[in-house]
Amino acid sequence: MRTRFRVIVGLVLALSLIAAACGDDEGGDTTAATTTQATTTTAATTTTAATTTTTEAATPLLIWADDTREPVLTQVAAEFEAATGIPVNVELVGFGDQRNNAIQQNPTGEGPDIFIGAHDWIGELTANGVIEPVDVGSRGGEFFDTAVSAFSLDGQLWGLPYAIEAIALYYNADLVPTPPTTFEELITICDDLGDSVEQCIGFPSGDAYHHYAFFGSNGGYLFGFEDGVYDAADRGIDSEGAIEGFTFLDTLVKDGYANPDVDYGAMAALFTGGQAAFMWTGPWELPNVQDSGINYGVAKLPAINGDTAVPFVGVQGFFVNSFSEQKALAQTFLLDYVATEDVMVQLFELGQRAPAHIASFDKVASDPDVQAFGASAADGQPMPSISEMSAVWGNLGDAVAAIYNQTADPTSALQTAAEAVTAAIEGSG
Amino acid sequence: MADLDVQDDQTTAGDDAPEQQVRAGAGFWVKVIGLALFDAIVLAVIPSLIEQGATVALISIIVGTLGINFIFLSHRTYAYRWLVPGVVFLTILMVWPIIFSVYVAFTNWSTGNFLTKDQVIEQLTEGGLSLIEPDDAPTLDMLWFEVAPGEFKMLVRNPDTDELFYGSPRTVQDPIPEEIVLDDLEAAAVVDADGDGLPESIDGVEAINTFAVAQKIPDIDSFILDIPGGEARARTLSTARLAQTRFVWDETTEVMFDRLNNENCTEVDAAFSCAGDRINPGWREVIGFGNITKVATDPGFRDPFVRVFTWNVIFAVVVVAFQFILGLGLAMVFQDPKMKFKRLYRSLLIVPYAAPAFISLVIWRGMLNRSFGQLNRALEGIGSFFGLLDLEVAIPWLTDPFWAKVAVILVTVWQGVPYFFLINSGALQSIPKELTEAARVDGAAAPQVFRKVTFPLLMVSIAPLLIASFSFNFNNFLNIFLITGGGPPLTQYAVPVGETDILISFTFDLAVESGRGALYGLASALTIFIFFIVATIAAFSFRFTKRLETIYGNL
Amino acid sequence: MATYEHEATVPAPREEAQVVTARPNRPSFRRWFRETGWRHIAALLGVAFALFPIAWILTSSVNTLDSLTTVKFWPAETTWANYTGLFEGCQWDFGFPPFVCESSTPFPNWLFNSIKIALIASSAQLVMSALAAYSFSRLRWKGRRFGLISILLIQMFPQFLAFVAIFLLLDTLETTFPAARQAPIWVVVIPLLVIAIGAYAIGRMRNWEKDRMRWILWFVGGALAFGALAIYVGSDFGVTVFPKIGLNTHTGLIMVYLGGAVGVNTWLIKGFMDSIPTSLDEAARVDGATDWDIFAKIIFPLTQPILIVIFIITFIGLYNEFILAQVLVNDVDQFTYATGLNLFIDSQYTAKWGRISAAAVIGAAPIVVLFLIMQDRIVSALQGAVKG
Repeated sequence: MRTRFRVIVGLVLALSLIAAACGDDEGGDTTAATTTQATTTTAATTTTAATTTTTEAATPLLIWADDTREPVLTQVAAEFEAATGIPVNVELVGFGDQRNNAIQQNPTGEGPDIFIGAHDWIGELTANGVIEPVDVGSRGGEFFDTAVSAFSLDGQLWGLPYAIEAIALYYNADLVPTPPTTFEELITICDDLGDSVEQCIGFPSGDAYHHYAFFGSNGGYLFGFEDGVYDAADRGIDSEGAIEGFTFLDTLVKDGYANPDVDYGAMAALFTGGQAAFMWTGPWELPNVQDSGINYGVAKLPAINGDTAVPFVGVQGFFVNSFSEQKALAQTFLLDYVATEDVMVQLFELGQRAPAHIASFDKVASDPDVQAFGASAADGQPMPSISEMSAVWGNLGDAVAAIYNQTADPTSALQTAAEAVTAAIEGSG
Repeated sequence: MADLDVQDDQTTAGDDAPEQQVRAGAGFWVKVIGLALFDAIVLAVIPSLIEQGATVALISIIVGTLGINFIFLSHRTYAYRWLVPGVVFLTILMVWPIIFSVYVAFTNWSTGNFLTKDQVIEQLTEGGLSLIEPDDAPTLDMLWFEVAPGEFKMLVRNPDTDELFYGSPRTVQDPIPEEIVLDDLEAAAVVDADGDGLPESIDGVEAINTFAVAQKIPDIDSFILDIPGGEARARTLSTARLAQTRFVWDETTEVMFDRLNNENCTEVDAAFSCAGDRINPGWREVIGFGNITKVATDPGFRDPFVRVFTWNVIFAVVVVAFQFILGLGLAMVFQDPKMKFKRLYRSLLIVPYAAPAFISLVIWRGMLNRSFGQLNRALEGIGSFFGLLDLEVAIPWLTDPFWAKVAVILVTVWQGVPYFFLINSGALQSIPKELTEAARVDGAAAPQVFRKVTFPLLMVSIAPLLIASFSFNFNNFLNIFLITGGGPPLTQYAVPVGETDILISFTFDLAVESGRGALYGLASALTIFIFFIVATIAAFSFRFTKRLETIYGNL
Repeated sequence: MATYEHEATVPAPREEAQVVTARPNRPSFRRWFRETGWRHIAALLGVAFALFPIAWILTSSVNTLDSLTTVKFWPAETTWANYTGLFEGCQWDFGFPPFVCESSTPFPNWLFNSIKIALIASSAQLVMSALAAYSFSRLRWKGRRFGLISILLIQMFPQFLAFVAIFLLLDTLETTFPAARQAPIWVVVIPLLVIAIGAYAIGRMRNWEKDRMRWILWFVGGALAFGALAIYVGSDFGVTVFPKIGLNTHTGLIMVYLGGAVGVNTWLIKGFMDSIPTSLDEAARVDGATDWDIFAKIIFPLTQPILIVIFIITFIGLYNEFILAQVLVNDVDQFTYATGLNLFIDSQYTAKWGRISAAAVIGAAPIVVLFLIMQDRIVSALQGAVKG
């Protein structure tokens, strides 16, 4: 008897709570339901005007930015909101995480509307369909051709370029009055300095990007490039020029000018601490160097084996998520609020990367550092943006590491890398 | 111990026993209310799941909920009630990911094949990804008019020709109309007071302010106004681009039509192929045993796998052995009741365990640098203490294959010793003094007492923890990832792999940055392999650890 | 346990027993050294090994130079700027989260988030684990042995490698629980009333001082439930019933952590419970106690020592957890301490080591302090825990 009573009471109670929960649910979803209905009607009768839901507040625009752009964009966002009433959230996301996060999250609707990256990501991002072409219309001429062509693939512009960067040679002006123009001069300076510095020149050991200058200067190349199109089948990783350049790097390692123990952090610390006469890196390190108060200068990369140094040129820019619900709004933000002289100059001041926007570049062009980086970049090659590029980074980095660690001679290191890249591209990896 | 049915009867009896009535009643009400709340939440969630079309989730949730209700209402399933909370989470967050990984292992999920086929079709037919855009296409000016509440019309102006086009836009999902239908602006009252060529109002309806457009028409991206020369679609909030949709998907025949080449596309390797070109992006689909056979048979893959596996086992065994031995040693050091400052020592010793692993590992990485790291300096310091003043230590901790292995073992041991120190301290103290003292009285030497009495007793309680620690270190991703990143690299293989890579870091590299983008399918196949390896090793260890039967005699 | 007699094989007689003779009248240094002194040396060596990197973190956190690899151990110049910089622009606000930060790196909130997440997740893990352990230890049912082995083996699956699965799972959950749902206040008030009345009833039924454990459990449960609700109180009005679950939420992250609730810890607790004589609960059963009574009044209190240890170990693990938090939480305000620190490291090229070290010191401090306070209990509990 008792048991039955209890079961009945339990059931009644359960049902009443269920009812309560469902009732609440319906209440919460009323608007959604009507929306669906409304849209269906529109679809059925195409002759009537477009019907859409009127929301009270616009969905905020979401932007991912790393710490070298976040403060400026937050400011732009505030201006945008004040002018338009549309909120913009700038989320701090580490630069290194953005590409993978975007690939993973954009299709789920979790991604940002806008994110920032380098042009060499474009191949992978488009292969996965997670970015939308940006239509700059007639404003393409406001940007350097290098930047626009770096962001173009298959006849589309895949982002709004904003900065061009290439590595150059930092020097400690107290130790080195005139910067060297060739490696021979550089080595003479180093020999003269002797033990007065801990490490004469700092390279970030084992990093493929920074060491491309050795790879490319004597005629090495990654992929054949003709008429603006990369040919992934024509690979020059173990080409003669590349081997020649890396053999030069190998002698630098053997003679102790390039030190395998100096990684990026050590390099920066040595230079800012006055323990290194030279540093081999790009404009992103400028803010730190300036903060350290060291008397520095920046010069074009010295000639390698007598040939002009050819560094990688990277272009950074803003991408629009192809799964974004508000692409038009994102483009408005980029074209009308970011692609302006003021913002471009502010971004330069924060991150020290030379603007890709010509008018903004002209404003800052008198800066000697910008000139030096510009001169380096002028001799450089843009990083290939095809998706096959992702097969190169790791393997080329391994080759550089092998030379630094002296575990392989330049020829075999590059041949191994070339085989690995071939294997990866042709699909057996 | 009482068996289940007896217990259950007792429970019931307890409920109805007069003196226990009210109290048992309270428990009953808690149970019923809790269950009701739970059911209510599940029911509230079901409509949303139906809407999402998440069939698998829906079925599992319904089955799971019915099961839980049965468990809590039936007397026969009493014992399972205790397990429900933990097992629910275990199922959702451990078992389901395992099942999902098995599924992914059978797919081509990787860079270039990331989206579902529906997403690909949507991107190609509705998004701006593939548009046919004339080279000299003008950027149109655009305005919106709210002709009735919630009803909008779109106006575009070609700045080159000053032509105006006005009409009701269609959505991107609507079929492309046979002929263009626009409103006749000649007949409408068009007001253009400032003479900029863009009307301020049409038929008394005022144009929506540029930024109000974003608020009033949040789905502005999905509208198209067909005008002569192409389709006008929003580019920004005030301008439109003139372009043509390139692809049209026929839902009935399931064929993609390419308007650029005027032909149907074929489907090759999980992507559309139109006029011989692969159209990005491709989609993910089940491909069968491809990934699994690759792991097992492809030499470019199997060789590094075997190498990594061997090092992985060595790493885990050596690390656990050192952690245990050093931890035990320290614990025995503190066995002396007369020793002073024990609390202080103990506090300091556990610091490596309490400090965030993530940070201490990064710090270690810096300390291991050959030229600049503090470890080599410290070794020199120790050397000079022993009179070796000119000793120069230049151990390449991170760049030499052998020393890199030593380094990851050293750091991992450093991290784990405090844990074993604590566990062993507890275990040592729990060994009855009478036993060891009796052995001593019987004339056994200290080492012998240790070997014959203390150690076997210790193993009884520590063995399961050793196995758990082994499996933890077997998958100690963070340490490898942060100390050496797997390096120094092994260049002879086509896949990215390093001397200190263990299976899990090797797999992670493949999944995230493989040299070909992300290879989720292959990485999942590997994950399943790893799981089987670890689980098998653990299962066998448990089986052969006879001691276990004594400690978990109740198994 | 009875097994001791089997294990303790009779030792062969040899040498005089030192224990007996070790009662000197005048302690000579040599003897002191042989018995105790060497222990200090070994302990000091151990401490040096343990603290070497830690000391390094400490000094670099006050160093003006921002590098880990090149600066000397003893800083030439010291500064507190790394510490104060962490809290710059943040103000205490008496709310959730407790600080309002202008800076884009709200470090104090990260710390708060970590403590909150670790506290909730490890408490919940503990409860689930203890309940499961009771069933494994005290009840007899079909599939018990299989279950015990399964939970251990399943936990050996490298969960984070299935991050795609977990990501998609949370994404589905997010669509299912799209946002914190607003509800009338009674939806919350009634359960709270039920909890209160229940507690009152229990208090009335029994002399609650004797019944402390149960009383505490009840209120801890109630407080946890209430706390969970309070955390999700909407910023404007009303009370949220269903928290937002999914990506970028702490609820989602906590749920993922709960997947590891039953596992090796269940084994440990079960082992401990097995060592509690069954005669205790049999006696209680004769008095008419239900299983819940036995669990709440006898087993749970007696298991307390190991529960504390497991709680601390789980807490530390979750407090420092990094990989899953990294994958599942993108919003900087929702970051945990570990993922926040990674942001400092993960600048494209430049890491601010001084600040990272300072953050590491502040972050590790609560754990170390917790350990120091609890260390006696931990050691004595482990003594019991690993007892056969």
